[in-house]
Amino acid sequence: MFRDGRAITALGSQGGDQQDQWQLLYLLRTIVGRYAPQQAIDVPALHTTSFPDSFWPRTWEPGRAVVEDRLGDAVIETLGRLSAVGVYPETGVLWAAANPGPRVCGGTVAIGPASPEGSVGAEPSPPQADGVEVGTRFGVALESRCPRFPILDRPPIERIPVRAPSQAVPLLRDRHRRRNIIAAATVALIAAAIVVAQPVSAGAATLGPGYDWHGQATSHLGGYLDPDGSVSYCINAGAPSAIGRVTTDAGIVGQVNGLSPASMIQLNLVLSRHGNTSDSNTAAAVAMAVWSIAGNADYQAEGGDVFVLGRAPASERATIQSLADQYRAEAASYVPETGSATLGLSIDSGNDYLGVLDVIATPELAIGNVTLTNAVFVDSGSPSRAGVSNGARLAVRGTPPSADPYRVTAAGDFSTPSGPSANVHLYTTPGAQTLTASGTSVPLVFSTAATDIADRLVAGVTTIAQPTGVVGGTVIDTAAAVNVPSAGMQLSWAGYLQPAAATTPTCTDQTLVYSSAVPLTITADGDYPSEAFPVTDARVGTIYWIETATVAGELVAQGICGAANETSVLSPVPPHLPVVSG
Amino acid sequence: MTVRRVALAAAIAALVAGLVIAATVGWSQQTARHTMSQIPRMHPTGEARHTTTTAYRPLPSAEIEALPEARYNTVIAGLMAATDPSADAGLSAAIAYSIGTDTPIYGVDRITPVGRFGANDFLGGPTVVVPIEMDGDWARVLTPARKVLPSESGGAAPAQTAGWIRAEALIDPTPLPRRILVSIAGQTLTIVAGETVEQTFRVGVGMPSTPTPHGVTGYLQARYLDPAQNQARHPVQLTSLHSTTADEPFGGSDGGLIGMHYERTATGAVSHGCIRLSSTAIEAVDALPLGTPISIVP
Repeated sequence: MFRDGRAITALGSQGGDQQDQWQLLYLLRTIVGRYAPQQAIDVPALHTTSFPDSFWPRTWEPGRAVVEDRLGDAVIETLGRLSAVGVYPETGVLWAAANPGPRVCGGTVAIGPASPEGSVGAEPSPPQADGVEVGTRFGVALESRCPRFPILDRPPIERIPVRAPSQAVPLLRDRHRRRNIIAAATVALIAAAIVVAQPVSAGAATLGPGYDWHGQATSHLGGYLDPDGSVSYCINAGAPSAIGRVTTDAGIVGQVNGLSPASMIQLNLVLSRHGNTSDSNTAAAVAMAVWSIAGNADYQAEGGDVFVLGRAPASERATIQSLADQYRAEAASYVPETGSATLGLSIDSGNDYLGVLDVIATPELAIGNVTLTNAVFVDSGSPSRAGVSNGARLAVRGTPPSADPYRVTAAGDFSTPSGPSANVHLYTTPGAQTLTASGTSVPLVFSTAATDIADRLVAGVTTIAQPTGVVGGTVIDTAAAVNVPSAGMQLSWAGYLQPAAATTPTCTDQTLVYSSAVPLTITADGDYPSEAFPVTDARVGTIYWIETATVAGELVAQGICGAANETSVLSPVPPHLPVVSG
Repeated sequence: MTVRRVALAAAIAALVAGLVIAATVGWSQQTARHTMSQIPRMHPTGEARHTTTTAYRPLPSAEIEALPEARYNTVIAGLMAATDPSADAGLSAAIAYSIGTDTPIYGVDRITPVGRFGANDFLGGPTVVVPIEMDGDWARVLTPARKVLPSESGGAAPAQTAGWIRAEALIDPTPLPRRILVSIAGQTLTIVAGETVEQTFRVGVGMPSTPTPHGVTGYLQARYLDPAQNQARHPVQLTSLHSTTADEPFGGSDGGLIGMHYERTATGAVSHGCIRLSSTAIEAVDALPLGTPISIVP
């Protein structure tokens, strides 16, 4: 302390954050209250813990004060009741905030010297240029708001028994009414700063499932509830708690803490699979796994698993450790799906038209669409098929594009259920922990194709019909077949009588006069005559033949009405010319 | 020809012509060979308008088809023999007809059908029918079939048969302006138009063992080329006549047919019954319409 530039007092104290507060007491007592220095030190002291500790783990206890019990019940009971008063300089309007009691919400309060009850009335006071005049009584009607932080399950005031000093020092209460007010005001001012500093908004993360060390929210093991309802986890071990601060949804980000894409996937994996939980043990284990993935060096420096498990009840620690190890192992062993598929085309040994498509695909859940070229699936008659999975064995039938040898190809596009992407959902809190929740997932797609390993031959049939015939005789059509499947090919013939009035070859159901009774089955290349159709009077004239070849019931070749060499001219029997008796 | 004969021929011709005109007026002309419209000319129970009363009833087609066809190679016992010792029938056979549909042939009683004409002959063309007598609703026509085999009649079967058919079955009349006269003894063939002799040719005839029938009038039934019979240049002229003495004087099974055909040696009694003609003769005969009567005199 200086007066007129000359040091007049030096004082100091130990006690961490208590230093500021106890020295404040001394200053108030000596400067304002005109206590003697020793008296100022000896009288009961108090301090508040309703502010983040300067030391890690930076815990704080909203609304708490630590007092010497020498203050006496009368003073102590009035402590914890926070009150604040102020004035808006621009308008001269006074404001006040307070709570009549530690766990009472609502009602009216009065700001005044040690008066628990309130007084009704609201009247503006004349503005005070210097702010509050301690000791002035205001009658203000207020509606207090409940604190947004969870109600603690312990009394807000912690009493510390302190042995009275040897020198009897009068108690505050006994001394002067003004000193009571000073004490109350001190606490009020300190608490007011806390209350004012505490942001109460919808953008604050709040405690999620998990456990807290001695109830201190700043020592939380578990998740946090984000404004959008998701559960997020701290990735900066050692950073201050985000509780009570404004948390911003930063959206999906591809990288945090300098992590590699592989680590990002692991982080997303744990968050996606286990993070969104309401179970405290699960959340605790997730938090531990997240710390070790997102920043293991910092995590171990702060004490690692052993340290944070202290926040959980002893009965749960083993379970939580086991879960955390399980999640870590899960993340470490996770290998992003690398799907692959193989298509295999085989040709039936006896029939180039038939064959099988085999599908091998990993992972097992992969589903694909397969499209065939120059073939169709036998059961559907379509070249496309959806919903194909590993182990499928599908019958395929070739549809030759021409008479030349050809090959069938199969192309498949597969996809699997998704896996975690290399990203997380980020929630940022300036000056505090960074929180992450599960990111997005990515479907896995892959393709493959296959082609026949050998050509498929196309069966061909050419025919030459008997050019003439006569009633009473027979007429046949002979087919030369090539590339006949050894499994068999069926030939059948149909002869159509050209109508007299038709100008172009006409072959219709109404003009059909000759028809194979039973198809001829052949299994090798060669020339094959049709059955010998008897020529009858009703079936004479110009006959157009159409041959039909089928393999396994499917048409592979068919002639055309009026094709060359496929016409027979059948005549009625020539009359017998009588022989005269020469 | 005597005047009386000419007058008789003219009267018969006029009668036939009148009947033909009536027939053509009564029915629409049909050039296609299809069934005639069924306009009954006489009710079965109606009054008799002609000298002959018959119990005729039209036959259903199924019954008609069941009747044996009168062809060059069939034998129908119910037919009548048609002899013509004086070759008069040749005079009365002045018009040839077709029939649009198979037509039943009746025997002498005109009650029981004994056979039928097919609408088309063995060559696929319209069957030529030659009436030699008209009687009211009936026409007596020459047929190409035999009545009995020579072997079953002691070697004396009629060379020509006739039968009764309903006159309304006759359609498409074709005049027969000429007729053929063959003289066995003279070994000649003469083409006569009315009373006018137009051409005469020397011909070959049957040997005594296989004689050409005579005293009979038949008609030109069909003509055709047949390389199998060595007749590739001049068509064989098939008559309705059959050998009287042998079932098959020339072998085969066609019924001892008497035909006129070309032979290089077309003279003498050298054939098995056929009349052999020179090229000019066969060309002249070939120009005659089918149905032209052929009368053979001894």
